[in-house]
Amino acid sequence: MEKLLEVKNLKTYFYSERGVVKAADDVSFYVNKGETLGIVGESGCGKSITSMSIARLVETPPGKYVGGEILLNGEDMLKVSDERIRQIRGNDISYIFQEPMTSLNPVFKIGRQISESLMLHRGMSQKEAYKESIKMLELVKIPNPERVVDDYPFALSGGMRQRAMIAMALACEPKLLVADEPTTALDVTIQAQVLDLMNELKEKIDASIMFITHDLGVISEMCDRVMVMYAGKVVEVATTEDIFKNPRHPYTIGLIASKPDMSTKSSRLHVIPGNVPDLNNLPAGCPFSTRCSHVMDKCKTAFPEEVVLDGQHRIACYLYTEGGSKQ
Amino acid sequence: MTNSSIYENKKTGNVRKERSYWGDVVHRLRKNRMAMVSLVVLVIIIGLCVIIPAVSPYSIEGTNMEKQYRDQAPSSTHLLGTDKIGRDLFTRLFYAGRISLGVALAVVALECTIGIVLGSLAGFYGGIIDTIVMRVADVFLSFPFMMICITISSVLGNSIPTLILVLALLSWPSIARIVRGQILTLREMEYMEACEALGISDVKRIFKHLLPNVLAYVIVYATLGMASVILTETSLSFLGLGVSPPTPSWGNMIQEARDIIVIKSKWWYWIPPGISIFVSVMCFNILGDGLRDAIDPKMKR
Repeated sequence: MEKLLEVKNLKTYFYSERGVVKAADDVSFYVNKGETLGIVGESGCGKSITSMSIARLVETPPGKYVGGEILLNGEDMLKVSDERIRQIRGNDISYIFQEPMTSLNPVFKIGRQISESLMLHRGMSQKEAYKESIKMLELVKIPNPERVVDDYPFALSGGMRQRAMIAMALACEPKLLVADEPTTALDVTIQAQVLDLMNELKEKIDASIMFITHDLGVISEMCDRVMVMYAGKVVEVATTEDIFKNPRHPYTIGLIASKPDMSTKSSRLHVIPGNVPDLNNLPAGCPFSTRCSHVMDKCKTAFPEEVVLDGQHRIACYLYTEGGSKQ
Repeated sequence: MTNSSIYENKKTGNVRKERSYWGDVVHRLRKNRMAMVSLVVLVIIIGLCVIIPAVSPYSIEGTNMEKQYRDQAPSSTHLLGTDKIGRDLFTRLFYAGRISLGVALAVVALECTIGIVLGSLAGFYGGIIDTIVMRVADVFLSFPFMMICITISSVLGNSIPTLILVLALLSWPSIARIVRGQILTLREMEYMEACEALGISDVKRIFKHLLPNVLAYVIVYATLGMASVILTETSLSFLGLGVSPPTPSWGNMIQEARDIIVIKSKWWYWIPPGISIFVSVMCFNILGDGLRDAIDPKMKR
């Protein structure tokens, strides 16, 4: 399989008065062409920062790309000029954000917002872009696209707005679509519709998707592979099937166990004890060591090297390194 | 889906009431009776100022020194009487209105332009640009206003363009602050992030995407600003530092009536320009307040 995006040792840090926050620390992963990669983790684990870094959207300062490479078709996003990155944004890499209610500018009509990137990246005239916008709205299954194109965002419901956002993001047929919790703010029925739509359109324009969420149910429905992050570190990467059937990192195991299960009758949900560590004040070694039930002495001194099991399953945990109990 | 049913209603004749943001503003403004009356009065005043050269039989500086034409009380030929050199005061009043309102408009336009550009750059980029712009604004705000006006007009001479420039240069900081404050909150909105993710350049993001969101506040400020500039220009002209005779302005028309005898016995010299100033300033203020309530109904309570 051909790799569309390859991120190597990305380090995105934030420099604040209270110290350095390592929002993405030594993050490496890749996305194949036509594949959907899920990124899971709790709030503040660096999933959004990692995804924003890809099109260099992290605000600098306070953020800073300290190191690493982000290769999109071999071109390093961290090294290209400002002008080139603007050409890439919206054209090669598109984003869908979480909050459909505020992701559209309230003073512009829907059509104009979709037209804008078409005019910018495809060099279309206003008229052509307007017609194309109607087509895009039709593609995302908005009823009456000829009317909606002239509506202001406030006239649309949340689900409709998220569809309009998808239309905007896909207008220029990007190679990579980054969806940052696109369905978190939607109710479950609309969520299912939007997810189906994304899958369908992904096939149609042959794009890859990076899907960020903390909803494991959505992951299982959407993704080919899953990357689990904790406190800025990648702790486990595997195929979706593998992650659910055979989670290996203690954090992933805890995460999957915390998912409510309809088939069991237990009255309490499983929880991972403790809290996410303060990113300003991370423990030395593995950040999960403070909550981990298998914690060993060496966990507290250094972060483990990544281990590859079964060809594809990458884990960063001493349990699986030499001398580990599960090795 | 719920939305399609709303659209279907249209076909069955139940028209969905749909207004844009500005449609809502206009609707709320129209329900505000005071603001609408002010608007009508202003339109009348401005209208008279515009058409006066075309309809008045008297020229603006046409003096008439013959005794029967000088110092006349209002009559059917001279609606507001004449002054001591025989000029028709009705004509002069509205010529003066053109100058006073024109100066106010030019000042407001200029200060808004400066304020918007500097304010949005400061708010958008933050950091060092913000610090520089806002400290310069603080400096301008701490100038003693009248002293600066007196100094500049005595150095540069008091022509109308200088007056406009001085007033605009001294008053841009307030609008810059308003714009900066708004931009600071708006730039964090998700749609601005979405904009950036689409590859839209900074300049376009500021002036095409952010400014329309700030415009409402600027319009309110500009309307209220008109009132304050009229007052300032009038006081400067009264002190002989603004518009200088023979060009009339409401301020220097009152100044010509400074004499105690004139005030006592020749009311037509100073009452009409006084009322004009009062009425137009009040109307601009009421209209500005009305616009503010219409734009942000939540602010009313």
